[in-house]
Amino acid sequence: MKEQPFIRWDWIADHTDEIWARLLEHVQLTALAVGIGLLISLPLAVLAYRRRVFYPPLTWVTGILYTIPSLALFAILVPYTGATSRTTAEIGLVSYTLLILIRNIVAGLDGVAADVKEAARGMGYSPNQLLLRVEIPLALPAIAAGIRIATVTTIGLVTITALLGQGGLGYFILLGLNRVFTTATMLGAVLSALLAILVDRLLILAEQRLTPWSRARAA
Amino acid sequence: MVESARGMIIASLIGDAFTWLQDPGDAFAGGDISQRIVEHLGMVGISVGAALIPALAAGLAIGHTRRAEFVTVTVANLGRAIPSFAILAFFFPITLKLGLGLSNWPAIIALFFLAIPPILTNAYVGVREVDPDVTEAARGMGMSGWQILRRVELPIAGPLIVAGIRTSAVQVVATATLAALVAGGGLGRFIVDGFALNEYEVVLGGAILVALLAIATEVVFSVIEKVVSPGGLRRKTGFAPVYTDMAQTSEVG
Amino acid sequence: MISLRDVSKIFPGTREPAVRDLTLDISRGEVVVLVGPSGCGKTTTMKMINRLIEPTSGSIEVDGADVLARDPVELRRTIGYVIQNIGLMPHRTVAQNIEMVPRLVGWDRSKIDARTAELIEMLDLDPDLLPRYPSELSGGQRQRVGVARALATDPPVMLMDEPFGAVDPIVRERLQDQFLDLQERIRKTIVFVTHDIDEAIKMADRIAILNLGARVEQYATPAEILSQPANDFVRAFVGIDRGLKRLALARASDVDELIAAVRGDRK
Repeated sequence: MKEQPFIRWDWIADHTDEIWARLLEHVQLTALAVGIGLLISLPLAVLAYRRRVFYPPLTWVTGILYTIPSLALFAILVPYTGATSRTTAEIGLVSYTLLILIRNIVAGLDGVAADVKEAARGMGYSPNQLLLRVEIPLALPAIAAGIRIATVTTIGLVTITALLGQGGLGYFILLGLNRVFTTATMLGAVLSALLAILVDRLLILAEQRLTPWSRARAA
Repeated sequence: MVESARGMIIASLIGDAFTWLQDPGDAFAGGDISQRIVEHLGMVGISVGAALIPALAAGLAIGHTRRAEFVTVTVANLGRAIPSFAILAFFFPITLKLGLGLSNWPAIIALFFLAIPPILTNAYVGVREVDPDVTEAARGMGMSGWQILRRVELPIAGPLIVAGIRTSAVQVVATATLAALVAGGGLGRFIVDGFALNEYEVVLGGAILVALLAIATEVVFSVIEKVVSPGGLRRKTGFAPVYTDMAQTSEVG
Repeated sequence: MISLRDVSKIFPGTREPAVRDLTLDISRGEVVVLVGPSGCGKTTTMKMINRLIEPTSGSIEVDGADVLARDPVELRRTIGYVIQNIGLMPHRTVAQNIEMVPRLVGWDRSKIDARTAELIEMLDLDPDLLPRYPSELSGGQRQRVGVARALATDPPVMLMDEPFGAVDPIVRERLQDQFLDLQERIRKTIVFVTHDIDEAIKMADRIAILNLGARVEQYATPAEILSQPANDFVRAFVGIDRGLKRLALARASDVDELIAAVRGDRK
């Protein structure tokens, strides 16, 4: 029997269109999940920050969501939202971003120096002005880090949604696993890893742009 | 099949799951519960155990000598960025090629790499955060670098190091479920097979088992962390302050 | 200018009031220093004037107006506030920090710029510092920016809580001297909190020596407190070397009186 080469580069060359399409799908799924996650997390986090009483239940619920292995969460959602719908995938993906984002936003707000907050209050900033002009801007590095972590984690989770018929680059991994087709498996694995690393790098750069004041040092 | 599943209410599903946990009965998916638990723990034990050596060595060395510090940041970022499923899938064909057949090996190798970053990061931070005055006093007393590491830095950094191992272990417990996707065993089998056979109570049951295992791991290591705390330095065991990550990391995918 | 009448503060969960029935009057243009041991309630008292802490009972008036009847946020914009670590906004330049309250109350750009220039000159700050971030400044510079910021809208009243505490003694002395010169010119009504009796003696027109619960043990000029301490608490707080401290106050020295004072302490 003819021995199959480990990686069939010709197959890859033939399928560049599909690869590109899956890549875009991957990015879309990620962006949507993080975007929605942020929209939900921001007000919840501010609420938890201002009214401490909400923080434990919030972290409790999101913590539980987070410990459920992704496989299980997606699998459980299927009977309720349909096997191959994007909704199933997005619900799962968004849930995972929630814990990361809420935690980081609250930690960021908490991390703002007490005397900065006190000085601003003492000068006559109302609570909302304080939040918008002092607390959130100073919490931005932590929030940005949270967004980065959530994004990168989501990229990883999207690969698993391949099991639900979504999956972006995970599609190739699944294809390769089902048909013992090494080329596809490797392609999916390597590309999704590269995507994650690239996005991580880019977001780190963006984070650094956000805080010019922290890099200015005493003369 | 999916239509009948859609009729289920969550409460009954949870009830069914707990029933299954006590006695699998007719449910076919996944096999023997205790065997899978052992398998799962085996994968976790081997991968984390093996990861301890390079991760601790590197973390302690970098923290003590303060050289090549970029390595820790890089490892932390890579560790968090690279999708676990990708690493897993990557090693599957390789282990096949190496003649290891369908086994838990791709999972163990992938988990090994996954386990490294939290241990390395925490070992590094732990050693580095030791009050420089303390190490300076030690040096002034005439301790060699090696002695300082062993008698001063390591005991003080102990709790943080254990916290790192704890984070790593919990992450690995959760991620080991993915092994089932590459023909491996462990508790993920219940999730994957249950899903395939529409036995959703098995899926939930499997998930509950993983969650319980993760919590148990967390608790065991928290205890070890307290035990390892030098008396005068009892710190609150909270979340291991992974370098750039503030969220509790229980790896999910 | 500022009057506190039977002001009390009990923090929830504590048995003893932090401030018990405090009555104190501060005249326009004077620097009153609240000094006392840790936990005596001096900072709590000060913070009730701008309602960062709400009094449990009693009344506080500033310039004849009841402080408790006003919107606290709006009130604070009319009172200068300086704290120990200053709390400069790290994400804003020095200029932007100084401009904070003027912008809150809606001054136009030209008025803000003019005032900033004035403040820079008053506080002896280098104009080159304006576009810089706080992290680039020395401790002494930051302290002065903090004071400039508090003076930005020219409030009649200033509250200062250990404002010079976060710098080393040499810088602190210089800041104190500069501040005294400034006060000579602008004559604000100032409530100044410190735990350091030497600083109190140096800075104050009048000193209120507070005991636990913000109990006023003596409220008098520094000279009076040194020469006629009201009771043992004051005597102990001021310290056995008060004769030497008095030396620092003396403008014209009466040698015999001084020697007698010093000798008297050697008993």
